[in-house]
Amino acid sequence: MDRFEALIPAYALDALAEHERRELEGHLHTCDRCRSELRAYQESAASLAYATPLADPPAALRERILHDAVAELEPRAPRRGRLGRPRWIVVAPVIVAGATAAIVIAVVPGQGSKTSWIHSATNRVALSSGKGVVVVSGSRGALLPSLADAPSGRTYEAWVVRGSTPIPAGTFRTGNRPVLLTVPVRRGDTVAVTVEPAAGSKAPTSTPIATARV
Amino acid sequence: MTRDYLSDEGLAALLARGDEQALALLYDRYGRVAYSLARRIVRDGALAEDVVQEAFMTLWRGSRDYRPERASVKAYLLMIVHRRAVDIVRREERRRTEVLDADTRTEGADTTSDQVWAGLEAGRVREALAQLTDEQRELVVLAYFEGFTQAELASRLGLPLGTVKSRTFAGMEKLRSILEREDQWIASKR
Ligand SMILES: [Zn+2]
Repeated sequence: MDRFEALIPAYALDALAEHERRELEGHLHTCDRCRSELRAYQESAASLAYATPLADPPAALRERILHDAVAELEPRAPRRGRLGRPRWIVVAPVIVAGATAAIVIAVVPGQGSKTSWIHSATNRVALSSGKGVVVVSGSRGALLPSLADAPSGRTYEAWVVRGSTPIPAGTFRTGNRPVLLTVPVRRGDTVAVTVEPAAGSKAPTSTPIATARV
Repeated sequence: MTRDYLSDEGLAALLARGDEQALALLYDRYGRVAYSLARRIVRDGALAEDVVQEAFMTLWRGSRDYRPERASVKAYLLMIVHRRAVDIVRREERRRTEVLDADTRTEGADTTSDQVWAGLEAGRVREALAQLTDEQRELVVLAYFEGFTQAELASRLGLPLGTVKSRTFAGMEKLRSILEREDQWIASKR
């Protein structure tokens, strides 16, 4: 047992003084034994969390986290967070008759937000049969679907059809969350959605369930 | 919920591939305890939401760097939550003392398997805490749930720093050994 091991339980409680914490973190890079001790104590600390009475978080928190996660997928660049309340923006209800779900996108304030353009984009095209909306700004496209979740073992796949060639534009399983298209969209393209095997396909294997000409 | 059967670490591997459904499942498993822990420390529902959101986004963004041999997903996530919450209360000059709103549903009718498991875990850790001496338990609980450093605890309780350190060490060592012994017992019954 080296002198650092005595610091580990308090480190797992986040109770060390700043200089001790830094010293231990430096040591952890080089000491297998202390790392494995820390793993054990962090498990104990995590169990402690359950000793507090458990309360349900607001349901909106789950939606906000998932929306933000999806919004960061394209491109998957790290964005350093800060503790700010995201603004909630309801995308204008341009969904054609028959669709019921209003689609809500969390937009983090500030320049360069990954999804704010979806809100400001003026070019919106309804998908056939009330299955949602395609939003285009410049060459960026997003799908705001209004579908049931994909059937078990299957996935939805979006396509940008240029001329007669369908280009894969991303897969998704949840039917009511925004999907950023992974390929640029040009005027005259058609955006289509098909149901594919779980891994997705390189070319559509079924007829589209929804299309929109942009 | 076709992938409910996946382990936390299996879901973490899917996160690294940008699978937001894996994130949703992890949230369903740990969102409630993460929120409750954050709220207990910062004593403010809105701040607690921010802490939880930041923690899950950290997990999401860092999923490619996540190393299961370093920490379980649960421990890693709750460690991030704890650290952020403690940072917040330490930045405040005066700790919040308001009583939490009583209207929030706590430990109501637990229905999902995740909630049943959380209830069992709560009972298990409370029993383990009861086996610590009063002095050990006081230090562990004040450090973990109030965010005090050992130096703050020494001056607050009028104890020598060395005493705080040795009692905290002994208390955590005992807690760990009780919980690990039970883990082995549970594993042997499976
Ligand atoms: Zn060491």
